[in-house]
Formats: sequence, C-alpha cells, structure tokens
Amino acid sequence: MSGQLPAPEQPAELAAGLRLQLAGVRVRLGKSLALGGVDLEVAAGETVALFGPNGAGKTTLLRVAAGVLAPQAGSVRWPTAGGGDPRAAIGYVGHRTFFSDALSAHENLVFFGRMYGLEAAAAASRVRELLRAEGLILFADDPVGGFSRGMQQRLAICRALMHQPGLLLLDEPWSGLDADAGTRLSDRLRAHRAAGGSALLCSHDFEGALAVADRYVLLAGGRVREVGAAAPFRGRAQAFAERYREVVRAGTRVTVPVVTPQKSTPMAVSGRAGPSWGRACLTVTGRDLLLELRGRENLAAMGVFGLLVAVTFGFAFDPVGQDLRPIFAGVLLVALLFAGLLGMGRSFARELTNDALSGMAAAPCAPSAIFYGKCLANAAFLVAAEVVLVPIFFMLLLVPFPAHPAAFLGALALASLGLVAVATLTAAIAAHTRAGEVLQPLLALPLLSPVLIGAVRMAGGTVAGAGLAAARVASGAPWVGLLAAFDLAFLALPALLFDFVLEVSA
Amino acid sequence: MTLLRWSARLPGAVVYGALLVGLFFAFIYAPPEAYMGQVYRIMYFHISSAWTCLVAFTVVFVSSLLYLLGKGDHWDLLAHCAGEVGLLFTTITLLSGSIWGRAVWLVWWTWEPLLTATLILWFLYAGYLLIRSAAQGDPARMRLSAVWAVLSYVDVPIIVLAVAMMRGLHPQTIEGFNINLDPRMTLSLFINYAAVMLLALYLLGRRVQLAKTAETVAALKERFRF
Repeated sequence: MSGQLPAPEQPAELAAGLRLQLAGVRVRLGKSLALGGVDLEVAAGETVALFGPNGAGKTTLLRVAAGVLAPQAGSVRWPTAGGGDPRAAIGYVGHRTFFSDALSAHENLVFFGRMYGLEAAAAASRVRELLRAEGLILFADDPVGGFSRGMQQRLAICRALMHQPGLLLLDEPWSGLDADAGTRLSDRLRAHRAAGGSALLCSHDFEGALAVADRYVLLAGGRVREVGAAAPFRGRAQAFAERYREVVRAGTRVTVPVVTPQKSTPMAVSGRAGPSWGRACLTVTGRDLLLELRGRENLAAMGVFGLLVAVTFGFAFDPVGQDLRPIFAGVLLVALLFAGLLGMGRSFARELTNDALSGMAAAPCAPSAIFYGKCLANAAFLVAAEVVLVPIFFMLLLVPFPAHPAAFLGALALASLGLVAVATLTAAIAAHTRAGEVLQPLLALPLLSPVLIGAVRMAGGTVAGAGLAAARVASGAPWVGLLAAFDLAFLALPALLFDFVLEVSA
Repeated sequence: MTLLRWSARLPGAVVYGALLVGLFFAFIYAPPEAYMGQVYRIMYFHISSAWTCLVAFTVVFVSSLLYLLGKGDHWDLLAHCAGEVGLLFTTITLLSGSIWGRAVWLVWWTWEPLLTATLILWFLYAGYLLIRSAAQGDPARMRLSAVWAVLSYVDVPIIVLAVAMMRGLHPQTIEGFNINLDPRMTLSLFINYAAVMLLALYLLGRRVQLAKTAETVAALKERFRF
C-alpha cells in the first residue's frame, strides 16, 4: 500500500543542531494506545507542523515533547537545552490555558514567569511588554475568567513566550484567534525562527501552519505516516488537503527520514535556569493565598463548617447540664479534622478547571516544590481557621481553657501538621479519580487515625480538669513521639512520590 | 513470580483437599479449650486469615514499590490482585473476630487495638482498590494507586503502634517466638494457616490469570483499532 503514494519532497537543508528528538515514543492513555512508536526530530531554527485527524495523538505528542508526560517506551531528548532542566527552554501552549480564572491576566502571567525562574520585577516588566504587544494591556488587571476564548488564547501565547524559550510547542495555536491575532502569531513564529528558535505546532489550519513551517508531519492512529517539506504546499492548501486525505485513508507507514544533526549549537534564544526549589514552593503558596483572597473559598468553608459543628454539639450534648471536658478534645479535633478536609479538599480539584497543574508540571521546577507550596498555603488556612474556631469551641461548649496550654497547643500543632500533609496529598490523589470529593475523606480518615488517637490522648488530659490534668498530661507524653513520627513520614514521603501524582494531571 | 505461575496451574482439588485436612485438624484433632470450649475453634480460621491478609498486603507494598521503580507493569497487576485477595481475607478476619468476640466478650465489636487496627487496614486497602479500579488501564492512574498502596503500608505500623498504646483485651496467642497454646492446637493452627495460604495463593494465581486474559483481549482490540 505504501508504494501507491509518491514520496514527499524533503527540505533541502536543516539548521544545525537538534532541539527535540523523540525516538520510538509509545504512550498508552487509558486503554488506548495514543502513540505507537513515534520518531520525530526538530532541528534548531526549524518549524515543524504536525497534522492529523482527531485522536491521532498530536496533543499527546506535544505533552511528551513538553516533558509533562513520560512515555511508557522510547525516549525524548532536548539535545541543545544544556545541562539544566530542559523545560526551562520550552514554551508550551496546551489545549487548555493553564490559568486561574479568579486571578488577573497580570497575576497569572507573573506566576508562570516566576515558575520559570524570572525575578519578580523582570517578570512584571516582561508581562507588560507582552500584553502591550498583544493589545491586552488594558485588560491586565481583569480576571481571566471574564476573557473571551480568543483573548485567553492570546494570553496563553504570551505565557509561553514569557521566558523567551528556544523551543515552542503549540497545540492548535490559531484556535479562537481573530484575523489580526492570527497574523500576529504567524509573524511571531517567523521572527522566532529567524532568531534561531524552533517550533513544533499542531493545527487543522493547513494554510496557516504550512505558511510558517519548514516541514510537515502527518500523524494518524498514533503513528507518523508521512514527513515532508512544507514549501511545495505553501499557498496550495487544497493540494495538501488532498494528499493528507490520501495518506490518512491509505494508512501507510513511511520510513521517517532521519535528520542528521550537525554540531549542536547553543540556542540563539536561550531558556533560563528554573527557579530554586524554595522560590518555586513559595510562588505556589503565594498564588494559593492570592486565590483565597479573591475567592474566599477555603477559609469560609472551614470556618462556617467548624462553627456549625460547635453549635450542633452544643445542641446535642447540653453543656449547661453536663461536664463536656472529658470529651472536649475529641470533639474539637474531629471538628477540625472534618473542617480541614473540607477546606483543603479542593486545593487540587480547582486546578483542573483550566488544567493549571499541567502548566505547573511543564515548568522547570521539582514536583515536590508544588506539593510543599500547596501544603504551606493549606497550613496557613488551617491555622487561620483554628485561631477563630478553637476559642469558639471553648466558649460554646463551656470548657475552661487548659491550665497547661503548651501541651494543648503542642498537640494541636502536631495534629495540624499531620492533617495538612495527609489532606493535601489525598486531595491531589482524589482530584484525579472519579467522585474525588467523596473519595478524599474516605482516603484521608483511615490514614489520619493515628493523628486523631494521638492528639486526643495528648490534648485530652490538658482540658480534663485540675485534679486529673497533671497525670494525664504526663500520660500523653509518649504520644508526642508517635505524632512526630507520623508527621515526619507523611511530610517526607510526598517528596519521593508526588511526581507520580502530578503525572496524572499531565 | 515463579510461585505465582505455579499457583495458577495448581489444581483446585489440591486446595480443597488441604482445606479439608485443615477442617479435620480444627474440628476433630484439636482439643476443646479449657475456658471457651468449642467456640474457640473459630481461631483456626481467624488467625490464619489475619496472617494471610498481612502477607497479601506485604505483596501489595513490595509489588507497588517495584512498579513505581519502573520494573514493569506486571508488578502493578500483581499488586492489584494481591490487594483484592488481601481485602477478602481482612473481611474474613473481621467477621470471624466479631463472631468470636460475641461468644467470648458478649459484644459484636470492641475498640480493641488489634480490631481497630485491622478495621483501619480494611479501609486503607478498600481505598486502594477504589483508586485502582478508577485507573481503567491508564498507566498514570495505575501509578497513583501504587503511591496509595505504599502510603497505606507505611501507615500500618504507625496505626498498630497507636492502637497498641491503648489498652486491650485481645488474647496474645503469640508473644515473640513463644506460642501460648497446647501443642495439638499449635499444630492445627499451622496446618490451617498452610491451607488458607494455599487457598490465597490459588485465588491470587487465578486472579492474575484472569487479569492477564483481560489485558490480552484489550490488546487484541487495540490491534484492530489501528
């Protein structure tokens, strides 16, 4: 069958050095084979257009090329990216925008600039420059959620250009753009190519993509069907469409011409080094705190839920008629545990709206930095809720504040630390499963049982009454070690395991 | 893995025969217990199931770890199947313990350290199977369930320690290397444990075989898709 089609023309010359090299890449998504052994190379100063029918594997291929999705077989290399994190040299526009709807265009872009290692002032200045060039400067302080599809796409292109990457990976970049914005993007791609930058873009717009590309690649059924020079089809989209249909219908598999790289050259438009681990962590924390400031979702949920529990227990147990001190620690910690799970449960689920986690996974920072950044933000929310709720529980349930506040607060701190670690991790796991919001407490509560047992035993004695307090505080001492061991285990383990969790969102 | 291949070929008659031998030792050979009388005989299935579920969960942990370390998809498949077998034997442990407790302590449930720890174990691995069943063959989600399996196993000793620090009434049949039982009871216990382990291995082998068949069918469908 493959012999029936004439061989495509090949570009006469490719620029020196390879920016991207995929060899035998195989990816299974769910039960489908998304990529069945793809070989593809993008040279420095080259633009490659990827075409194929729906479900051909174009988006998956770009995700692999962006380093956010690991192939099950084969290899992906960025030969000229240097010794650092290759993602620092990649600008990626995915299917979704990766933005938080509640944050402004400026805040979203600065966040991603910081995640790519830009200093705060440099990021802000670059944002203004890009927004001005894209005609969006007037909307810089507006929430992205209010933007039209086309404006969001323009903003996504700005995001990919923030750190001046050497390799652009663009998934349907012209999608939703008006004529002016489309032309501007084509001009940008030509300028990027002229400066030595490379690009791999997938599109259904044959004319637009062939106009900027050096080579085209036809992908169907997860396999490369044809690779050829774009020049012969430039301005002849109809002729290309016919060839495309023939190749896809014939289901042929061509031998992909191998690009023989000349000596690898440094990128003309180089990527930057990624942010330090601590900076990436704090950047994620800062973004979550900013999101909370805009939406006030977590604190309100935790605070109101905790208050309702206090009132409900007040109705149920009649604090005037009976002494609640023996059960107070248990009641308080169970309330805080449920309030915490409720508030922190959404910390990852809300990132799925615009696939922001994929955007973070594409940034050159350790996955653990994202986890601990989220943990820090969640810890801040929990402490804020506790500052309000704990005194309210003492007041409403008519229990005097403990005579040994240090032991009580120590138990609360150790329990909160364990709760934050487990709730953040289970929120990340549950966000990627069916009925995640229901599943999260089912996962977290059994895991948190040592925290509850230990913290109630520790804190219980401190509010048990003057006669018993000293003895019970002493008996709570062995639980400190257990709680500390738990906190340590569940704060340390995600450093090793979180990249597997983040991979699901990619 | 060799053991698993061998167990998949194990004839059911051998397993059922072993269980019958176990029943003989539990109900006829072993003497009645001085205080509990005949009801104590549930111990042979209760303890055997408890030990078997711990072995199964250890298999889940080791296999999940090997899968996360990139040693191959078959480790995840083994972990999933061992998780199902482990949960089955944990359920048997809890139910048999509850029936035994009703006869001896006059309550269906008590917050005994071992009971509580076993119940939490059941929840943890039920969670694992929930996440694993949602994976639907997606490798990234399979890795997510493997992460959960590792976390759950790490939590188990902490839970056991936590509940053990609470006081308990559960009889300590085994303390260190000493078994506080009549020698005939000890022999019956180990014969029953061997029979239950053989049953678990048989179920695991068959379950793995079934999962592999399902994978082969899915792969064939994929071949026709492209």
